[in-house]
Order: sequence, then C-alpha cells, then structure tokens
Amino acid sequence: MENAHRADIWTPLVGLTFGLFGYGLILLLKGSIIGVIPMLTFVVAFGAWFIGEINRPITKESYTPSNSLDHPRMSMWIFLFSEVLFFGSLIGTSYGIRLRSTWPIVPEVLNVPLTAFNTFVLICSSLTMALALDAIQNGKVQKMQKYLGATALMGVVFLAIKFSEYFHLIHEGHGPTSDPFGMTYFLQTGFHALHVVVGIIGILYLIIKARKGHFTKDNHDYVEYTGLYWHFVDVVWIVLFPIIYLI
Amino acid sequence: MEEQTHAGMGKTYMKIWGVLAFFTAVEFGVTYTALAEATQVAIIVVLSIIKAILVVMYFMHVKYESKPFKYLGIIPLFLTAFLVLFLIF
Repeated sequence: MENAHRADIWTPLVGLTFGLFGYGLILLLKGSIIGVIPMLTFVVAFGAWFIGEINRPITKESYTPSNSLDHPRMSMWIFLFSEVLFFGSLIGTSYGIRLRSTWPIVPEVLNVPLTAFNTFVLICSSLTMALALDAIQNGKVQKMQKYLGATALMGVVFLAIKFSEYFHLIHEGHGPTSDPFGMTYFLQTGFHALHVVVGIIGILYLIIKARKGHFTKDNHDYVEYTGLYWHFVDVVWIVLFPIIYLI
Repeated sequence: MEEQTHAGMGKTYMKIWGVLAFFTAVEFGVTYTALAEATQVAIIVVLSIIKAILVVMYFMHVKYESKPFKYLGIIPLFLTAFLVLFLIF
C-alpha cells in the first residue's frame, strides 16, 4: 500500500532551497543581480514539488476523521501556533521601537479608509473560504471551486491595494530603510503580504486538485487545512490593522 | 455526530461575517469621533480581540473541537503574550 504521507526528493529540497531564496533576496536587495540564481533554485524545486503534488491523488489512507486529534490537522495547528509567536515577536518589536522613536501622524501618511476597505475584503475572503469548506462537506465540488476562486480573487485584490500603498509610501519617503516607521511598517505588513501570497498559492492548488476530481464529500482534509491557514492570515490582519493604522 | 454540526453552517458563517464587518466599520468610525484617545484605543482593542476570537472559534471551528484541543492553545498564547510584553517594554 502506498504511504499517503510519503516524502519525495522535492519536499526536502523545497525546504533547503527556501533558505537559498532568502539569501538570494538579500543579495538582490543589496543590488547584486547574482542573487537571482539561488532564488531560481527555489522556484525550480517548488515548481517540481507543486506539479508532483497536484498529480498525486489523495488516497483513502490519507483521509482521517476530521474531529479527532489526527496528525496532519494537529501539525497545522502547531505550525499556526509557531506563526502566532512569529507575528507576536514582529508586533512586539515594532511597538517597542514605536515607543522609543519619533512617529509620523499615521492618517497623514497611510490611507486609513482604503485599508479599512482592504480589511473588509479580507474578512469577505474568510467568509468565502469557510463557505467553500461548507460546500465540499455537503459534496458540492462545483460550488466549492467557485468559493475558492472568489477567495483567491479577494486575496489578489488585497495584495493589489497593499502594493499601491507600498509604492505611495516609498514615494513619500517612508521606505523600508528610511525611518523607524517605514521599517516596522514594511516588516509587519510585508510578512503578512507574504503569507497572503502563500495562501493564494495554496488555494490555487486546491482549485486545480478539485478540477482533477481529487476532492469528495468524505475526502477534503486539504481544504480544511488550507482554510485554517487562510483564516489565520485573516486573524493576523485583524490584529495588525488597528495596531498599525488606528492606534 | 460532530460532522453534522460542521456541515450546513452557511448561515452561521454569514452572521459571523456580518458582525466582523460591523465591528471593522465601528473601529474605523470611532477614530473620527470626539472621544478621548484612550477611550478610542480601548474600544478598538476590545473589538479587535472579539473579532479575532470570532474567526478562531467559528471559521477555524475551534468551538466544535474537543476540550483538550481547545486548552492546547492556552500555552502558546501565554508565551506570545509574555514575548510581546517583554519586547515592548
């Protein structure tokens, strides 16, 4: 019997090359074009792993009842707890810096109404994600795909608004290396935006797998795990939005 | 059994979404009121915490998890609270 959670060569390679990706990104930000090479190794490893994952059918063995302390779901929660600590350290550090440095008047540099709308977009995407899980639990694959598509689309809208704000801020002289405000702003929202990107990739993965008919009423754990991650990213923004924009 | 409470939750999700959207509007609106800054911050913090709890409880289904699963989260949250406090002050 095939082990449902078997690891292929690409899984560890994705992890290893992700380190190279970060290293390459730092080189690139420092103006050295050679950083593209280590970044590309990650893109190749991730692409190979992604394609392999998409074509691998989810076997019955990988299905576990969704209301027991089963392994994958537990792992997801432990991962999310580590993410709580990660974002907690970013927020704590940023607020500590804020208390010790001069700070611009936030509504003058940041577009608060636009970001309030963006928060609303992310809340809506959380709803569609929850409805997608609800749909597949009722065996409605088509409906789930529509909700997932809407979720990914709202994620893209969120990012688009975010990036427009980034360009505006850099233009106004609050870039990631300009002042303490810019540094902490880009540190917090940048890592959050990165999580949104990962979430969108995860949702696209679900959509492709759903189109291949890999999800059924009794076999949809991946939707649940991706949903947990997406809702977590929403929770992080629910916390970040008031801290950065309102307080 | 639990699976049954899971499915057909569409209406609950819509209600939670309504509350989340409303609270976001209130948070945003409160910054335009003449209330003292401390009051504004208090309102925003309380509403945000409620929003986060609602998402975790309903969208992430923690409300429907078993008891040991629920209590598991207390340790990392406690750690995070300590971490954040020590980093800030």
